[in-house]
Amino acid sequence: MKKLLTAAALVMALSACSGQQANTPAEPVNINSLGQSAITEIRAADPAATYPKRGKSIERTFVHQPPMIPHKAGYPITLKKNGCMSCHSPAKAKRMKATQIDPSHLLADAKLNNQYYNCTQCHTPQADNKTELVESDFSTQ
Amino acid sequence: MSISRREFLKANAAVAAATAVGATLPVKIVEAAEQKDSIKWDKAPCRFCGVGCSVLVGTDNGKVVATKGDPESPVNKGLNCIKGYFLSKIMYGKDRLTTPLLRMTDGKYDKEGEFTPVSWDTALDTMADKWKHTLNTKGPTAVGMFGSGQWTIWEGYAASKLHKAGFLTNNIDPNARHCMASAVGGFMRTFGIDEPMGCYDDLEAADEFVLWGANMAEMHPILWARLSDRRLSSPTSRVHVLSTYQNRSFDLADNAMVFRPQSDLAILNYIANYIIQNDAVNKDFVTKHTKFALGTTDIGYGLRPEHPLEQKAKNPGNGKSAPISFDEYAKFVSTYTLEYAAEMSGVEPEKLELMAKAYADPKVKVMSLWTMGINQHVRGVWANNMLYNIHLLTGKIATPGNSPFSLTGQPSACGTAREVGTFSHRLPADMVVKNPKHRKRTEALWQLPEGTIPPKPGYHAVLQTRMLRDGKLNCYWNMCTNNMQAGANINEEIYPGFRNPENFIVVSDPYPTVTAMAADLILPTAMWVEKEGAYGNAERRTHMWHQQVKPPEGAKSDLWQLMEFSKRFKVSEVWPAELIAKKPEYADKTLFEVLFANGVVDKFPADECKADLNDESDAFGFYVQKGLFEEYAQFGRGHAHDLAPFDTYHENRGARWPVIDGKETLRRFVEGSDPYVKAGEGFNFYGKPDGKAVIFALPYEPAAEEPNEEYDIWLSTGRVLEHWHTGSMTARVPELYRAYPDAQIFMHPEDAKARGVKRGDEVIVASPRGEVKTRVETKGRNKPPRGVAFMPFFDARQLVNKLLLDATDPLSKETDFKKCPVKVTKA
Repeated sequence: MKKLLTAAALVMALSACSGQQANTPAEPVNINSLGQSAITEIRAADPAATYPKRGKSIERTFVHQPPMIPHKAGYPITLKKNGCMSCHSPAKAKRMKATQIDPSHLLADAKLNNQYYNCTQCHTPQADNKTELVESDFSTQ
Repeated sequence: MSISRREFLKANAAVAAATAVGATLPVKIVEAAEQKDSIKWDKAPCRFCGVGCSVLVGTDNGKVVATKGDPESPVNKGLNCIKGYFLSKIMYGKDRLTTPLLRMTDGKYDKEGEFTPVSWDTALDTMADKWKHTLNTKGPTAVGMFGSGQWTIWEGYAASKLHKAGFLTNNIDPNARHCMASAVGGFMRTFGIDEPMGCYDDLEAADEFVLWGANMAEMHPILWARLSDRRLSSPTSRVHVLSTYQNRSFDLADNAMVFRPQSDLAILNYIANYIIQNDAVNKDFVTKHTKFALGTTDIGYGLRPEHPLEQKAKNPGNGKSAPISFDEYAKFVSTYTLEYAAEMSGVEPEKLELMAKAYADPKVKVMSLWTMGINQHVRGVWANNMLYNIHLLTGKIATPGNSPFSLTGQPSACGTAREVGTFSHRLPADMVVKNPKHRKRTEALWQLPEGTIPPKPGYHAVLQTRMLRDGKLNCYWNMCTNNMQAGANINEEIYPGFRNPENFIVVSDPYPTVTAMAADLILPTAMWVEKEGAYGNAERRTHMWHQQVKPPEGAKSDLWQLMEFSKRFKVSEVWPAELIAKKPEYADKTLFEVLFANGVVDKFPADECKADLNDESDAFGFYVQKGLFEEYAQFGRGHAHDLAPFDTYHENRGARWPVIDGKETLRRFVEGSDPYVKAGEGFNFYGKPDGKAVIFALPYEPAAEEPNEEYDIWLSTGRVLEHWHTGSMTARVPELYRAYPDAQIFMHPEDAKARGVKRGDEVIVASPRGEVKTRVETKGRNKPPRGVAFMPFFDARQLVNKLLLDATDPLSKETDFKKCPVKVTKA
């Protein structure tokens, strides 16, 4: 589809440059929304997302990207307790073989800066049974 | 503001520390990027919600390659939420549209034809033919536009001007109708002037916080981070959370309250009653700065007039009120006792009382926060009024930490939809089309003859879809919004309206959205930092960004589209003879010349733009954005909406209006902070002629529909943290998609069991208006009580808004997206 669109755009650009319309009308293109179905259709639900119990660190894709969580993460983050800290605090990370919280999130006394208390606001798990709906052309190159 | 990465690191020690990433992290790519000196960083507001965070955008070789929190921003102080961090990827979905697509058969437009690439000239000429034909045969009320609280300020301004002054129609409304209209109605009714008096600084100044239906942990994450910091760092701080289901914000709640849908109205009046009964009224404040009014009741549900509920209502759509005394008000709320509120809401009485005490205690500074739970409510304006009642009775308003704070949904619902006045009844700076003085002032600033702007409000968002279906609105342009997914009652109203053979529907969008698929012409659109922009956030902060990359070849900004379209109309083709007679020299001019090349908008040369890129200025030959902004800013200067000179916003991280002599205003209506309040006045609610805010006596009234035997569960809809609205941007970011791939229905485990389903099962969720298939979640982040369910609307594969009734607050015309009775059965 992308090819079709790009080719069509090229034809348009060329005709604009030469100041005349293309003589033969362009061919229709096939486009789809993320709905992947007609608006009036009642589409069957996709399989429920699954998240790995554990996993290796997920490589970041650009500078300053918050790392994604390589495991399922329903740990409580409440007034009483921050479940993520049980494994990722500087005191415990090594023993738990977990990634240590980034130093930028800590105060001088190595305690978590409360501004960063809600870990899942920036870090989220990744479903392991889903591929993206649309490919991404993002690149750091 | 444009600095190299190296300079940036030097200037910001904190960020330098942040880049010293933990050694256990996989940093190969990151390190490679770190070593690149070619990344250029510049600021931009986040593209998503109304919080208005500033981000730093890293570009390299003509592409955005990274985004991060802006440490210089007073809003987010270097932090982002997950959506903000992944802004770098929103423009790069492989299916970006790069050519206009017109439905055609055999080379000709055909409503039933297939999408076929056409040139921009063909696209805009085809549109212009349709518009001219409709204007000539049916008049200006048959054309219209649905715009956006995600438009930049100048896009909204240009669109509004094109419609109200060019096509002579008020049929322009933003999608902010669906999110902030009730908040606007509340402000105008209570204070006579729109937008919060307080600001985000109140988050650090308040002692106690009350969340009225707002799930800030997911929807306003950066403000939630600030609130969390305050709560966790201050031993006396307390958080009260109210919602119809348990959500993430409950995790940090000291006082968690799940109330029955619609009973918030009873709780609000109970608190007012508690304040009065316990002698906690701030009598001095109330006497000097407020007055009381009794609102008209039984006002209907904003449905089609023939709907039985409208027929039954005594005073449908009536927003009138009559003055009453304090004693009459006190008597009115006296029936809202603790027992009554507890019975109505299902909340434990001691919890309600704990919250009421916080409001009543003169020593406790309280910040109330709300958004869609209160606004998307068939009594949304009332609920806003009733929240202000509590703060006014106690005088807890406009001072540090005492802050009734209406949170905003979209990034420029305030800046564009509200301040510019892109609503069907409004003009810039809180003026309205109904008021002859307001029209006259607008016509003078726009150099137009008197009588140009039509006095009758146009079709609001919901009415637009009804009028499309009825064949009364025939040319319709959707810009920067996705109503086929986000609007209510898709099957019965929106879809049939779009596909009505009498209508020609245009959708401008960067991507093929659900709405675009139902259009007749799709226009490929440049987005975010592919153009120069300005947004206004929830705390009255206006902030700007420069164009930082080129859009994909073929895509054009909304602003370019609007202005280019205006070139295709001569005044003589669209104005009546009697109007032209007042300004005959305009007859042969185009709308572009009259509206945009008018000596004001085209005053600033293109080379005044300090950015490397500005496609619109290149196209039109003048600094388009500056000209539009400066013309627009004239409306507010000296009228309590003062904006700073254009260029300053490109230097700073925004400023909160009114900005006078270079100084922003943190809190309005209070002496010492607001320059419009004179010495000795203390407070002055100057939006009202007598300087007094209104405390409204308003009752509980039921929702439009309640669960019955067949449709036996309340469904609420809304957002999730990882996706922005309909997901047209965020669901194309691989990491955000995999973080939250599919919509689900959140239910109580017992409700699931009673329907023979369990977690993960596929179910049919049905209302009388439609069905959708989804899967059951009983353990996730939302935990509804029995009889309530929640489903997000981001997922284009599960169009949950098919189920909703298009019932609105009859005053604000904002849809109630939160209270739809449904049945859930195993698929």
